[in-house]
Amino acid sequence: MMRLALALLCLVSLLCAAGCPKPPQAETKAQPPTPAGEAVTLTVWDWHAADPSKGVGLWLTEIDREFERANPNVKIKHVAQSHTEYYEIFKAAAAAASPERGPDVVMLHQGSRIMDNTGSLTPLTEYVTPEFRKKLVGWEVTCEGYDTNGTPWAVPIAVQGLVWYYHKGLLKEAGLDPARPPRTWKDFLAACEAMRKIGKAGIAVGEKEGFWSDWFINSAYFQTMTPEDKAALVTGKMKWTDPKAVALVERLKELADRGCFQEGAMATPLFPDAGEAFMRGDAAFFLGLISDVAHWKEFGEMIGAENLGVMTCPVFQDGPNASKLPTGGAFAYAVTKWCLHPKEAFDYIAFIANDDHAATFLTEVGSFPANQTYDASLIEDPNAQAIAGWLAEGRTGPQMTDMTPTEVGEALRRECQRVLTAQTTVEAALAAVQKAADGVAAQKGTGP
Amino acid sequence: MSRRARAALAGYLFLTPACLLLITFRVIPALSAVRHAFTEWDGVADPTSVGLANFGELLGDDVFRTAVQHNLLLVGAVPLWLVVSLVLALLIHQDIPGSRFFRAAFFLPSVLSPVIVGTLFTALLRSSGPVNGALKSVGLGALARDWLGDPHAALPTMVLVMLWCVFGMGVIMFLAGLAAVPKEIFEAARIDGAQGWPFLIYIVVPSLRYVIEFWAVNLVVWSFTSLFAFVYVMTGGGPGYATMLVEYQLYLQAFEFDRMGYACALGTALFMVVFGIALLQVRLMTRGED
Repeated sequence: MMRLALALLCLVSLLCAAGCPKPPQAETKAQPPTPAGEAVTLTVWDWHAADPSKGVGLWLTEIDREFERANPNVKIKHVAQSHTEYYEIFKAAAAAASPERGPDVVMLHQGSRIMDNTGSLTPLTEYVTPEFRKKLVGWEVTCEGYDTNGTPWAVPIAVQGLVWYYHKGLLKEAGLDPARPPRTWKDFLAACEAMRKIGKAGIAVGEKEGFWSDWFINSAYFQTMTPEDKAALVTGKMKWTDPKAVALVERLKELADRGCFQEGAMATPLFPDAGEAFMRGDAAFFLGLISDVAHWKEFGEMIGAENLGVMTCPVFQDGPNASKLPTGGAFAYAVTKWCLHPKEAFDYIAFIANDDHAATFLTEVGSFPANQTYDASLIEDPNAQAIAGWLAEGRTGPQMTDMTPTEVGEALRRECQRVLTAQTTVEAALAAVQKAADGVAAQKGTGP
Repeated sequence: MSRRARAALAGYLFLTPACLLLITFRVIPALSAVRHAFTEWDGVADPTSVGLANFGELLGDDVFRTAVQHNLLLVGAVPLWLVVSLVLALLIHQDIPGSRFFRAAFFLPSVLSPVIVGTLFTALLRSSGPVNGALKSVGLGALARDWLGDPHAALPTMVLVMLWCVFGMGVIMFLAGLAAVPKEIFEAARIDGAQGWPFLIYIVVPSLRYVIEFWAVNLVVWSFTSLFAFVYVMTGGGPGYATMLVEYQLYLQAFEFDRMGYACALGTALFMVVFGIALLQVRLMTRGED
């Protein structure tokens, strides 16, 4: 009996320990300015630093050393984090919320990833000057409320976008004119069919994670939706079951039904496998990026810039915006709320985003910078020139899913996978996405 | 202090580090998870109490229902995992030629990380991979498919990969059990003419009853709680929800959607299900023992 009582006592004590209220977290206080000359170490987290020998990793490493030379009291400690688990790791750091352990500066994807983490970031209002703001594009996906005049939470560094690349050699082999890539949906399907006839696939697709479907919908949505429709979808006034959204997923299904994908597309990761399939010449088309990876520089180096072409989404429904390309989702830098030296941290970010580095970002990394002061004549690659021309013309628009809550995006990707593998119909899939959107709206108390 | 009291004290002292570790890293987090199951919590801000709302949501969650069905399907595969291990252990126990090699070879997959196994089989099972290549080369091309991209094939394929990963440990368990059975029992059965299935069902299984019980409970718990890495590496729960398991859904809710409270409710429900099944299993297996 005594033992039982002791055991119960222990259990109750444990329950009390586990159930006792969590001590309130320390509130963020405005940090006093760092005394001049005081040694400062800024810990920077990103997913590009893992390979400092090339690409963005090398570019950032050189900037770090340059910044340290210009600011002898500041040391930059760059920490590479896995891209796959990046936000999980950041959330763990945010939960610990300690200047000694966590990062001072963090790389974040523009859009919902920033908005999901504003509770862990320092607002940059006092540091972002009107001149600085004017130089850069992308503020609409780094500022509060997706409003360029809202509180800036992060500084956009790159411009990302989705374009369709094609393999000129394969088009020629299939009897098509590489100088005139298919512009209409009908011609595009015919080109995919021509590829099948020569034993190649139409499109190199990596749908293991569902990202390809997401990219396709983003690439095509200008044809069925106006900016007002997109805004209505975000606020819940327009449903995912609307015919304008249904038309997009129907086109996606049509591609699968017509056998446009390479064999095994559903189990192929988008990065790097699908891009590699395109570079190997297994497929003629690839829906890729304009910056960082799976883009004109990477493909051009592998198959030759002269053998690579770029276009926007084939048109199935004409309209004034039909040939637009979606931009957004590139990386930005933010200052964490527990950072003890926010001024120095912002100076470092502004240094990355300055005019000189915008130019080297374009010429050395092969990515489009958010800082628009770069000299377009620096671009030698014909595909990059084409993209730069579209950006300069303003033939761009925001991504359709850049403000979509994570749960809804996940539901969309999984339901598209189900459509592509004939597990469900387009209508049922979008009804499930709408159900997820309703669930999120109910949780957050938002909605129409 | 008497010698007995000193011995008891020493025993408690030796137990203390293990108990502290267990309490710190298992018991307290588990109790904390149960507490948070009744809250709305993003893992960073302070949780707010929502009563039983998370459990109410679970009942209407289609993904959870699908994931539980898949987990139960895996539990249904436990007899297959048991029988394969048992038959192979029996063959090795009979000292067939090369039995020492097979003992080591069968055990090897058990020491590999699920991430390595998952990566290995992802490469082997891809559409243009060696498995389909081998099928085509022996005239069985009709069977070739996108093993992990076909929603009808993905889960059964994963069951087989998990079998490959775990059967070696079962073989070792059963070999240990067989070594403890007096040789005379098997010899007497053979003299009486027991062979094949009757020998397995009426002689071997009763002799290994406790090992089978132990291993079966382990496999059931494992099939609910230890397959995350396979799903994460091989399919991500897809295509669609074709390979979604409860523990993967828990991960998505906690770390992708920032819904720690709901994830804790999922974890608590998972614990209840596993505990219930394991309890039922032990009851069934020990039925009539007295």
